[in-house]
Amino acid sequence: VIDLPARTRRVSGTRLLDLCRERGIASLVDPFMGLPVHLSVLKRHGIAVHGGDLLEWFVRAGEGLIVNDFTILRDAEVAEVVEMLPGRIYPTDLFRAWEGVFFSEDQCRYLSVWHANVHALRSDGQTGLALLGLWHVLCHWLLKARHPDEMLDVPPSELAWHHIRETERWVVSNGKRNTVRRADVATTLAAVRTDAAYLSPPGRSGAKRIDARVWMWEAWWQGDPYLNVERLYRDTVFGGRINDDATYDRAISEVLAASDAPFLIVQSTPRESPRMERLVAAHRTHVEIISPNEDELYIIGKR
Amino acid sequence: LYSAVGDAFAGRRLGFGRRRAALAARFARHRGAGDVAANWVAGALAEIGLIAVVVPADAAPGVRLHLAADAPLHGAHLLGSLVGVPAPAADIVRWHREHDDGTGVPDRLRWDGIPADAAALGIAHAFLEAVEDPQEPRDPAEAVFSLSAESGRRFRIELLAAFRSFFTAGEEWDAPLDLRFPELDEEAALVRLAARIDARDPASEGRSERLATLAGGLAPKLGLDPARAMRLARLVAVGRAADTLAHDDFDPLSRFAREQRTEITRRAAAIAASVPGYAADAPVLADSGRWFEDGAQDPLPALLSLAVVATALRPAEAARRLAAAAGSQLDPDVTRAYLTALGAPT
Repeated sequence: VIDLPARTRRVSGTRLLDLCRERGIASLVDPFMGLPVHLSVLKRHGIAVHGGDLLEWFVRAGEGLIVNDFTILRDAEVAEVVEMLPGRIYPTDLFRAWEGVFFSEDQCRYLSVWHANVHALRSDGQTGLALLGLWHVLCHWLLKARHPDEMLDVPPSELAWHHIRETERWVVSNGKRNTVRRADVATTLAAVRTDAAYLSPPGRSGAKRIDARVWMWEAWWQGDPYLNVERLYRDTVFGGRINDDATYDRAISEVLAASDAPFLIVQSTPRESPRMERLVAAHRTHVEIISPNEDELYIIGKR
Repeated sequence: LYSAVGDAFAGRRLGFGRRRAALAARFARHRGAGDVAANWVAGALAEIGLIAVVVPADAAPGVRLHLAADAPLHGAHLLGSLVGVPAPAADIVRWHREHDDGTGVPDRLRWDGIPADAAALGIAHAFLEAVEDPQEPRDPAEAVFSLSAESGRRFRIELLAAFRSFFTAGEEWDAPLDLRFPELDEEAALVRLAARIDARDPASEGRSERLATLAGGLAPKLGLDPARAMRLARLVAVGRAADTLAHDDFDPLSRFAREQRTEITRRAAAIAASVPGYAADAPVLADSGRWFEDGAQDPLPALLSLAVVATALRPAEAARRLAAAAGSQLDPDVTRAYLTALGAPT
């Protein structure tokens, strides 16, 4: 049974919203956006948001929730995603490598069918919504594998239907242009002008400790169960082989230097706070630390 | 009072918030959580954020969803603004509607990104909701069992198991809890509560303070306590703690106004009666909804009746219409005192 680590960093859209409203910030970019639900919250409240990531499925999810203002999936279209379509030939052994290791034979077959069906969707918005909804199914299955007696058995297509429908309820327009891109930090920061840049930098060796639920979904999206996402980070500022303090500081500093937004909002931890404060102070004149609770700490630099 | 107002906005049986608070605090103690008092406060005020959610009657389902999703956020802001409330309570309220699988509101946090206290309050809320379901009330043991369907989805597996063990440990889960809190400035809190309820409708913005000013000014002339009169005037506002309420910006002496006023004061009295500190105000509030012709009123409810009518009339016609209503809709003695204070002929 795969390990599901319990160390999810809390990235709260409403907390960011509070920080933005207190400072009159109307647009924000997050170059390490990950799953962009926090950007979706900000978008819903009228803030123009831009994001970037190296994992394609995060970007696709962003196309469904962030870029997309109107497109949803009709019942017939959801049905075309969650079920095997008659007359269509599916490569049902695409994820056979996971069979018996992470998933059952039936689940692997569904993963193959969904992979084909989602790739056949016509719009980026629909693709993003379906992909994000189905990711919840993957998480459900992995959790159920760990706790088989604690969770209900739900038929795969029913679970998929529920989560896709649930996901698309959050499609909303904020009357502004919102973007996501698959790019490294510098490219994302250079591509947009915003009032603030929000950074929740990966910890040292972050690429090596990536959650199984995240890399497996990238592997699913790419149709390659053997995909190693570590290579995606290799040429980035955080992909260096050496992980001493100086290298990590240099990487963070490089990211901070790449942003010309008036505000820098860096989410950190109490342990890392002095270091991050020093790094932010090197790039912004006024630095304040906001710590709403012991798990959340924001270092906000203002030009 | 805030908790009861939250119950009223959520359409629950009054006292739900206090029962949820006791349950959340007992469960927190069972889990060994650090701040039991914060869990109690968050349990009591979990739904107070609904006070800031105004859903237009013709709103589409999506708009309704998005507006309702912000209720925990509004609640957190409100708690954050109350002096003396334990600091962690605001964040517990903010995230108590998050789901373990990342499908909750307002942030769609997932897994251990949701604070344990907030996730635990979500379980306590769902349990009590099942027990007090108006359509299909469940036996507590059955309610605990029904939560299992959401294990790993809405609720964290480990926390739900802890709740089951708490429940089977035989603790008295619904008995009130004796916790100590710092003194709150209740008057200031009531002023803010009334102002927030007024602000839900542009037609009623600032109404409670106008009422309180009038009632407080007139009370000494009738030999009444001005502070109590002002407090009662503000308590009238809690009668408008409802998800949807029809506009009442029409002639305050009309039959429509009478019916609506009776309904509002009845609701205000019910809410006040459910809160020990305000229970003595309930009969006065209920009585203030009547007209004089329905039977003689005590001076205090009569004063409230007059204040409600006087603040709703246009100043140019107030004296004339109040004089005409004296003895039929309004108490003649109270009306005379008001008109004398205005310098109008009585």
